[in-house]
This record gives sequence, C-alpha cells and structure tokens, in this order.
Amino acid sequence: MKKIISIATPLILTLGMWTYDGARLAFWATSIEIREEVPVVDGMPELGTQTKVTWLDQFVCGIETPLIGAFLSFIIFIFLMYKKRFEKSSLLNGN
Amino acid sequence: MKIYRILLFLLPVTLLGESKSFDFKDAKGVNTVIFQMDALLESINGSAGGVSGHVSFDVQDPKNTKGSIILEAASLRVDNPVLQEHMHGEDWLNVSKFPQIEFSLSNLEKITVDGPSIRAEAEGKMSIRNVTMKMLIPVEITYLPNMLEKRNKVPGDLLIVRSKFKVKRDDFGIKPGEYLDKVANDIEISINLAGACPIK
Repeated sequence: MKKIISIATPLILTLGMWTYDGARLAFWATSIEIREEVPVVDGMPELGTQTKVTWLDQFVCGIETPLIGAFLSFIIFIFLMYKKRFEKSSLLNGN
Repeated sequence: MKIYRILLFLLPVTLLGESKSFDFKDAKGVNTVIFQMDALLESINGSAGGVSGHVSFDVQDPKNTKGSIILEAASLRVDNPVLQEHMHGEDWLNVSKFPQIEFSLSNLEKITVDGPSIRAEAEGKMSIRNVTMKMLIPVEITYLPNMLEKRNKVPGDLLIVRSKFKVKRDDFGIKPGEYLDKVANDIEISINLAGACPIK
C-alpha cells in the first residue's frame, strides 16, 4: 500500500493541479488575458462598448504538468521495482 | 443665373461636408485587436494593443472614407512566452524586419445605415510581412459628434470602427501549408477601435 501511494502521489498531485487550472490541453502559460467590455464613452453604454484587454502575470498549468507527474510516477515505480529485486537477490545470496 | 443658384445651394453642403481626420492612437489605451486561430490540435488566441493610424471620415459622404490602421507587430501577445517568441520570430511574423501590419483603406462600398451607425465593406490593402493584398472587410462605423470630451476630456468627435474578419496566413507567406494541425491557416480578427478628432 505504501509503495502504491509513493508511485501514485506525483501523478495525482499534478493531475489535481492541472484540473484546478482548467485542464487545458495547451502548454504552460505565464500570463492570463482578462477581457472586459467597457463603454466607449464613460457612463453611456448605450453608445456601444469596447473590449479592454488586460494581461496579468500568472502561471497556469498546461498539459506538461500531468505528463511530468506521470513520468515521475514511472521513475518511482522503476526505482521501487529495482530496489525490491536488489533486496530479493541480497537475501538469496545471504548478504 | 441658374448655375449661380446651384452653386449657392451647394456651398453650405460643401462646407458641412468637410471630412475629419480621426486619430486611432487611443489616449485611454483601450484600442485592441483580438485574434484567434483554431487548429485541430491547438487553439491560439491573443491580442495586440499597439494600434495607431488616421482615418478621414465625412458624415455627408461616407463612401470617401480613407486612411490607414497600423498595428505594431511586436505588440501581439499570447499567454505562452515560448509561443510568443516563435510568433515574433524570423520564421513567422519576423517583427524586427517587418514591424508593422497595416490596412490602407481606400473607400467604403455597399453602405447601409443602421440607426446611428453605418455598415459597409471597406475596400483597401492589407500588408503583413511586406506582402500586400487587396481586401474587402465588413465594417460598422459609428460617428459620435462632440463625445470626445466625455471620453478623453478634450472637445471633439469620436469615430468607432468595429469589424470581424479573417485573413489566411498562407496568403501572406507565413509558413504556407506548414503546421496546419497546430497553427490554423485562418486568423480570425476582431477589432473595436475608437478614433479621436479633437477640435483645433
């Protein structure tokens, strides 16, 4: 059970981070675009609006995040598998 | 005598029908061009704020609307810094060599009046990466006399230009036929610009 948790933790953590940021299929983003409709003439929206774009510096997880998590989980799995084999062979050899 | 009468009648019309030059370098910094590219694998969207240019507009004769809208290519922005670097780079827009994207408007066609606005097709030339193409772009133009003071605290008129249109990147030699699964050929552009004509 302890081994399964160790293997699954990176994948679950990164999947959680990715889902929290909107599960975007795109790559990492370092800024977000905020679009807001503002009146062309202040206080007179009946004359029409314009889209005001503001960029904010913010990290947003992309598809790389769960992929890195899956890679880390795989590395831990390989490490634990080799560790188990090494321990088994050590016992057989009587070391 | 008849000719004099006609000239006398036309004089006030000519005086009223003077075209005004509207500056699209927005003091409020709201003028933005929004773009979107929906490819099979990736959707890229962003905006650009480096808008400038002048358009001369005559309320009496909107057909003769002329001018140019210029966009600083380096002001194009997306949310991913690597993607933005590639977009500005030599292989794509090459903003250091071709710093401006320009639409030169020569006249308006198929004008219809829609309330306070006019709808028309703007005939002009689009220049991207030094490639110039004739284009017809649907536009909606709203003339707001004496409204500049309420927007920019300067007496004058406002001209609002709205449009949604598409350009194809292969028409302008931007990696034609390449990376179509990630970078769409059709670039959807949306503009909503305010031009100012202060009273001198």
